[in-house]
Amino acid sequence: MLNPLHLFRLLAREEVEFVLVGGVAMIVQGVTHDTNDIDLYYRRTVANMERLVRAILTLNPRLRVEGLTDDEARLLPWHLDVQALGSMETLTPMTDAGALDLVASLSGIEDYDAIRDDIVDVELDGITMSVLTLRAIIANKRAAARDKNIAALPRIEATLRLREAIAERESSQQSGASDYGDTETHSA
Amino acid sequence: MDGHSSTHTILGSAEPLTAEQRAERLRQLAAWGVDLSLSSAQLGKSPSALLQEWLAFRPFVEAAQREGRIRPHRPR
Repeated sequence: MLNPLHLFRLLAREEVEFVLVGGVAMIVQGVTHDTNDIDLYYRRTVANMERLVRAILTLNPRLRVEGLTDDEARLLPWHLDVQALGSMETLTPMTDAGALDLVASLSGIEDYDAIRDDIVDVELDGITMSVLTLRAIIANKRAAARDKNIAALPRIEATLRLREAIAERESSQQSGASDYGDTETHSA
Repeated sequence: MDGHSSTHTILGSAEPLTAEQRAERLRQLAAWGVDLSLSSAQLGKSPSALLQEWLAFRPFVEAAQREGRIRPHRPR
């Protein structure tokens, strides 16, 4: 059962440096979409990986193995630690908060520091989350170029363009209001 | 579906557009099959509401997946 808010609270409590990417990042920005997992792009330093592991360990992480049920996968001799996390570019555990994709690199994105301008703060139930912008999500999906990524692109772009149109309209209304306000001041 | 076959470029890019170009792109996206009224309606909701709406929908998808009514596509 997906419980992203529980996961986000744990990550915030441990002060993990990460950016929400993938399907959930699209959904919270208004794209009509569905996904089976929560994708987190994390900064790959030992200290941050330790914090991430500490948060995830409270959610009973186990492997996701095709052909095995979750109950069967729980019996596998596997333990999440910094070494296990660091040994793979993408780790995809199942947890009590849902299936996770923990990614250390993103197609089309140079590195963690390169996305500073491609993050928006999104407030979710009192938690301020760093979320990859729709613009960067499009770049990522175009670079990854899997069928399901390509299929999602028109819906993502539509949401991006509608957002841009709204922002432009609001900006012109604000400047109109301020012109009006100035006129009032002058005439007073 | 005619819009799909008549459009050879991949729709889904993020380059800066003028207002006129944006309006034209939105027309192309609608012709391709994107439901702009649905997308607009989503933008009127808060991120928390969007997340809760999706989470409320998930149990139905998960049940369908468990029961094999939704499966990954396997080309025949």
